[in-house]
Amino acid sequence: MIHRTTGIFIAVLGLLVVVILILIRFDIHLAAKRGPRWKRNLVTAGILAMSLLGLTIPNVSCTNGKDSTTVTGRDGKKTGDEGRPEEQSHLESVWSEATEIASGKRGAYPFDKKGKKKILAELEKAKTDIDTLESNGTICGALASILRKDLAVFVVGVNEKQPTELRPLMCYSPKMFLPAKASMKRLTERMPLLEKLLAREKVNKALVSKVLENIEKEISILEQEHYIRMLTPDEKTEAEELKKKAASQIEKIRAKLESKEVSLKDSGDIKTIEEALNFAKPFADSGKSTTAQRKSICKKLDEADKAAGQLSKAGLISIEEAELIQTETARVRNRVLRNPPTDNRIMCYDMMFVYPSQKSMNRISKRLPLLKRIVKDGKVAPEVIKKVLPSIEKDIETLSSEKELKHLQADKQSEATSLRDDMKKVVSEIKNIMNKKK
Amino acid sequence: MTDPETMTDSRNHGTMIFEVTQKCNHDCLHCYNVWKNPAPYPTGELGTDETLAMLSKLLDETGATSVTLTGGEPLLRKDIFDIVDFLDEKNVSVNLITNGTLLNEKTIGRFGSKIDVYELPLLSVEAEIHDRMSGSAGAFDKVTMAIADLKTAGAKIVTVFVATKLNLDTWPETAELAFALGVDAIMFNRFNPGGEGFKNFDMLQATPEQLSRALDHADGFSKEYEMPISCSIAMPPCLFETSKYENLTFGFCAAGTERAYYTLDPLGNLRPCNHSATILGNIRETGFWEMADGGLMKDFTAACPEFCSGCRLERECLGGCKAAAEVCIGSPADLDPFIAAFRNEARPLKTP
Repeated sequence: MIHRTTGIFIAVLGLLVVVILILIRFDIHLAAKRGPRWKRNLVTAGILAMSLLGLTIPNVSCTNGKDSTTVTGRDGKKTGDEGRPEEQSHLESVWSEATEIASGKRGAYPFDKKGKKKILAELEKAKTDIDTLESNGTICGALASILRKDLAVFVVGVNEKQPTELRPLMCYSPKMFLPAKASMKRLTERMPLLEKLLAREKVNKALVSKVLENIEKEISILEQEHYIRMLTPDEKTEAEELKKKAASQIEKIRAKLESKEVSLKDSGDIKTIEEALNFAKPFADSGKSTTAQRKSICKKLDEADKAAGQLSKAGLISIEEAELIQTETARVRNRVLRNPPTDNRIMCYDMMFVYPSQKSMNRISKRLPLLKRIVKDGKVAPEVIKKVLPSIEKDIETLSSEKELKHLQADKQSEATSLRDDMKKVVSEIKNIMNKKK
Repeated sequence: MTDPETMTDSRNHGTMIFEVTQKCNHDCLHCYNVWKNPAPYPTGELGTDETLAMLSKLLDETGATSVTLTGGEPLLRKDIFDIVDFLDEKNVSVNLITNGTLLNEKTIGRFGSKIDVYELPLLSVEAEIHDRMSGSAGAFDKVTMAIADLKTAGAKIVTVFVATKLNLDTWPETAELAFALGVDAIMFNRFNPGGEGFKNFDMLQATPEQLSRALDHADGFSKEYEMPISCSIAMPPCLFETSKYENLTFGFCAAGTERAYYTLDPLGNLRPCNHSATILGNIRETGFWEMADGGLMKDFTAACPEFCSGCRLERECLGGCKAAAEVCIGSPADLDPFIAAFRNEARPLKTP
């Protein structure tokens, strides 16, 4: 792929060459048609660069700097006009008009409806002009590449201007529109509102699905090169972040749509969690399981973790409740795996022994902040809390035992009792909330 | 100016409104259609050929570059596509005001890019309120789906919120719904009595205080979400501190100005605007400029209520909506019924 810098360098060099040729009164149009290919390309690049800068090319006199008289042929045409490709003339005239329109030099309403159609048709033809000029060697590939990219920018700039027929009127017609380019920020702002309306049952599922499709379509348009290209590096970073945010919002709303009709207790995901914990329980209690059973247990517990995430995304449980379930599956997994598999023939199986009080302390320290947040929000999903409460109470019981606490170092003991007391308080508050719900 | 050789008028008038039909599948409580006024009004419509011939004459005489199609419900007219095609061929920009219930992917596809702007009502985020104000069960579901379909097709959409006592409390969430659906602009139009609405004045008319609160919200909303919001029905400055709303656009009566929206009914009768019942003449028999320059139009334009005398915005505001005054009280020189209802609160603006 030719680097843009190379193309710009060629154009600037060509511009210098053309200026020099003009100063020495050399016929630049002839120079663009004769001689080696590299020379023709360089001079043509310079001529086009002059056109892009809005500089007109002076009527240069005839060849070799000997005679300053302009030669006019029998047909009345000056020699400089002879044989210039039609595509090049067309391209130059379209370029200058499109530059003025797209840059806003002609104002917000630079044409009427007919005029807009005409300039867009000319820009379409300009694409073919570039292809022709490149294929016949009039311009080099680097310059053609630059011209094509700039053409795309012109098309966008022209499309964004409105025809005079849409000039805003004082009364009855609405205040007219922002430019056609929808901002990514606006798209992401639509979604929280949509979600809010969905939560309040103001809009139906079919409508929300349709709106999400429209939003995805608009986002995909803004991913196109000729839009991204116009952004600064900071804006590009912001656009990337907003795209990710939009995708996550869409996923969340879609998950809500799927679960909308189902209550938590009837949802497939809560059943997955229940089945996984029920399946693993006997193995966790006994500490005995074969390799194949462990594989099956771990797979089910993984699915339970994923199901907790889905329920949280759907808004049926909070993030904290989902994490609580995941601490519970981790606890059960550890209890299943605490002994070597029963079909393991290896005699020496070293395990670092961790006292129950230490394990309880670890679990409580992870779960306490989650439960505190749940209490603070005042929203409890009883189906989830009932799953994790027995093991939490067991940990409280362990840390209430003097015998178990003595296994901890002195400084850890006070930390453990403090955690235990905090957890007791939080559990009591959660039970109150659950009782009030009944 | 009239060319003495050709005897044609070279002046242009940019925008016209054309009521394509008087038929409607809604029964809006706030409907301003003049054929629903207490006083009789001619009803009926011409055939396709006669309609296109009439439009052709209108365009030739006015040089209009923008036509808004309205009704009734325009899509009830079977030849609506022919009318739109005709206007598009004439390079006229076409706006379509519709209740959206008859719009679907097929009709939207048929219109293609020939419609520049679609204007649809979104009267409340609460389906029951929207349906009740529209007089049609299921209207809310249909119009919201129509908006979504139009968005899919890449159309430009403006929703119209007709502010009444029934729906004003739901304005903030309705604006949010409009934004969430992706509309391009919102019209916040206070209820303007006329037609059917005249009979429901007490049920529908909100107070200036209620409307001001909604405007406060609209101003902030417009800024926060970059949503253009315009109040196209006159909000009299004697009742509203319109200058404090930096983000809203306010419209005043444009009758008689170059921005007037003369209205043609399905039979070719020309009126000063779509709220007024004054017939200036028929385009099929009389030249546009003869009617626009005629005595009836002059009287309509010049009319201004006594109440407004001395107000520094007298010539801009012209007493609110003359058409509403004409329908509800009797003459365009009477006070806008909205101002009249809250006369004790109205404060004409003094010259500083």
